[in-house]
Amino acid sequence: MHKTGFYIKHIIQWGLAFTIAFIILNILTFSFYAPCQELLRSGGSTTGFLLPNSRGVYGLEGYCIANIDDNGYVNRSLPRSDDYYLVCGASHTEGLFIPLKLRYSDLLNSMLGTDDELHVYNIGRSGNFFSVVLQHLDGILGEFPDAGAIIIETDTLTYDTKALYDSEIQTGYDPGETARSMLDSLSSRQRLSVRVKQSLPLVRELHKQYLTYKESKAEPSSSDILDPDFWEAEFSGGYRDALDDLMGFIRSKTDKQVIILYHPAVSIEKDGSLKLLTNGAEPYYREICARHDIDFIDMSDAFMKAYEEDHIVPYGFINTTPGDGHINRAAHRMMAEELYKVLRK
Amino acid sequence: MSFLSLPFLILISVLLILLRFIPGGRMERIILLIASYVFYACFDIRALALLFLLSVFTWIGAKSISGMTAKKQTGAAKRLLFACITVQILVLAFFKYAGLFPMPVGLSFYMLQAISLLADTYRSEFKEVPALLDSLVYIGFFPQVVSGPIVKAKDFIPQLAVRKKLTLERLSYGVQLFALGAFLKLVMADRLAVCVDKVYDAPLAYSGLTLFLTSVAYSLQLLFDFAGYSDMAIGVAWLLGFDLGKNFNLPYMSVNPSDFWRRWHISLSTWLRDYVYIPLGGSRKGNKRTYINIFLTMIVSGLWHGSTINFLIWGAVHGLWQVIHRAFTRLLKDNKTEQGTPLLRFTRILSMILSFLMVNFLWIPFRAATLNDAGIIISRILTLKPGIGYYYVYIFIFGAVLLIVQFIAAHFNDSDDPIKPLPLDRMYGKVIFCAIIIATFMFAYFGSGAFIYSQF
Repeated sequence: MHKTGFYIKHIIQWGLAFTIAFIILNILTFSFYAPCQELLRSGGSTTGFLLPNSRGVYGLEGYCIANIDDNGYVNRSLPRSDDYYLVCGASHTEGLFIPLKLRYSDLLNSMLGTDDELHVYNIGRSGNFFSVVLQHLDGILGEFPDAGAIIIETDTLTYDTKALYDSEIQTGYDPGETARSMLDSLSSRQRLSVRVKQSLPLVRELHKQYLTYKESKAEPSSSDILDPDFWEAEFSGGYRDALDDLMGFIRSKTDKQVIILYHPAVSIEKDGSLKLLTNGAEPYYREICARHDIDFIDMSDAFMKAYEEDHIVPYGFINTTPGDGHINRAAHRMMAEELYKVLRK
Repeated sequence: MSFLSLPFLILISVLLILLRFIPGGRMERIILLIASYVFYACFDIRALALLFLLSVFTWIGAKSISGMTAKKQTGAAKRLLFACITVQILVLAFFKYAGLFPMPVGLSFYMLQAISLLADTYRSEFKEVPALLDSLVYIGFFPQVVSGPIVKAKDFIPQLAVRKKLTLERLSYGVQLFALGAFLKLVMADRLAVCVDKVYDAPLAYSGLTLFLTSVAYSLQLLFDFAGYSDMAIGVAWLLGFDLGKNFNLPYMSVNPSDFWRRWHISLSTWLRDYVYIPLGGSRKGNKRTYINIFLTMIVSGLWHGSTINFLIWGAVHGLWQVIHRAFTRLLKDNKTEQGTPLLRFTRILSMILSFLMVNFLWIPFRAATLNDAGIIISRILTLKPGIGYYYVYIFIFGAVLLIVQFIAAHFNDSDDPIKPLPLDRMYGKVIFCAIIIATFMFAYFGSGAFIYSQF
């Protein structure tokens, strides 16, 4: 009896100790990782959006305190100007790695005019890569019909013939799937679930860690996305026609100015040089985009120049490694400058 | 099978339960041997054959040496000892330097233990030669077979006869050591490895300042990695009822090279002292010979660490540094300044900084892939070459943590036992322990994996 009491007392004490430790660390987690809850949809301008009018902290790669606007996108709380440019893309554009004002869309905003309204509206959402953005073209044009121009950011051109054709398949536009209407239709249970998830960042951090651990144990992929033989075969096949078809498709959807902003990945070589990781599709994009009156901005030269002159690497942060991950503030600035040049023409 | 894996957790749990319920003696050792060999076989079952054969060979050698010393055939015993050690070294050299086969896991470590068994038998450290089973357990004991700590036969084998049973206090201390080791490895060492691997991979790209900071990162990584492994090994052994001693004692607080080697990889340093330096004559044969012995011992240390010229240079410069320091201190008159005066405190801090810088500088050839890379890194640091400026934030965070720990240890704790276990019978001890466990899962970096010293 005495022994049972001893064990029960210890189990309760350990349970309590664990709970206290958990609460303390959960509070600590708010300072570096408290992501906003994502709500998914199928008929909008992006695959999903973040919980509107919330704030998130992202400090695992770079550091950012994100402000989520009414539409569920990361933007400053400013009114949108009547004549604005729409910026689409994936995590690079969403920019949850650097302070909000230093993203290329915000820098461009400052360059274009006064900083009291949004001349550039950012709908970047993690996972919305080039092909995904194009598949949401109907949604983009439906949700933002008054945008003056559409800027599509991409860090790769490794879309083969099939992927280019697939990019034309539209997910459609459903006015009932805007952030506001979706938020209004959430049940109280769903609201509670969102609230609980938002208040327990430690659980989300541990879940993220678990996924990373599982990934680290998986066999690395042997396929090389930049395999020169594969791309040579692609370029000598129907690639050009597919790209031409895709650009024609974009132009058929809208007569607005369309800009493709391409920034290649890089690697730091053993000899100290910077290498651009590309599949060699740039000339095709340049030529075919021009044919369809689409602007194609290639950041390759700007990245190389910045590295050779000032040893600036466009990717990586002080809490990750140079050349890896997402674009940093230096690259955002370069991209804003290049965009500004094209928009001013 | 890594310490940080589910299979290991199962192995140790089953083992602890078995050891709790079976009577001591022979059965206990058989179980320990089976567990050790299961653990080792998980790395490479073929290498297990080598471990077993080398252990049996060592035991036969030890038995023969013991027989000869008993019959007062000292000369023959000495020749046999040398022959056995030569065979061990040849086996190690074959795998380490010939490069024909992959190096069996832990060979460098268990070979030193095998030599220790032979030498301790020759020196009549045992009343009678250890039994075969005891020798097998000693050489293959799983907590330290892969990367140490290197335990001397005379320290370990007697513990087999009086193995301590698991108590609540023992459990508390062992688990805490293991948790601390896991934190050091997964959270600190592996995260620093991210920066170190990246920069050492292309040193020509980075600025001199970045390279210097990365060399500091490596100094920290190596400490956290190896001290982390050692803590885990010592913790597991402690749970099983064995004391493997201490392997690190705040090494970056050293004030001179001798002090450094008393604090860094203590088990290797004492092994080298007992089985290389002292047999060479130690400090008994005059100054000149002492300097030569120190230098040779450090050369052996360098060669033991690796087969490339980098390690040889690393060992040689460490040896030279020790010789210069020893000669210099001999030349100096006794300093009359009392301990605790500002001057002494200042010189002590200055010595600490300079010693760290020297140790840090010497880790560059230790880590660099080639001698050429080491040369590039050192020259770029010294000439402050421009390049990518990369100031990895964790170098500063973990560096500050280490400084704080060292400061607390130096000022509030016993310098020989600076890291005190948490009082798990108190609520705050439990909370801190739980926080360390959760923090390990929170901040662990998954991707680097292997322990640095397991490659030696």
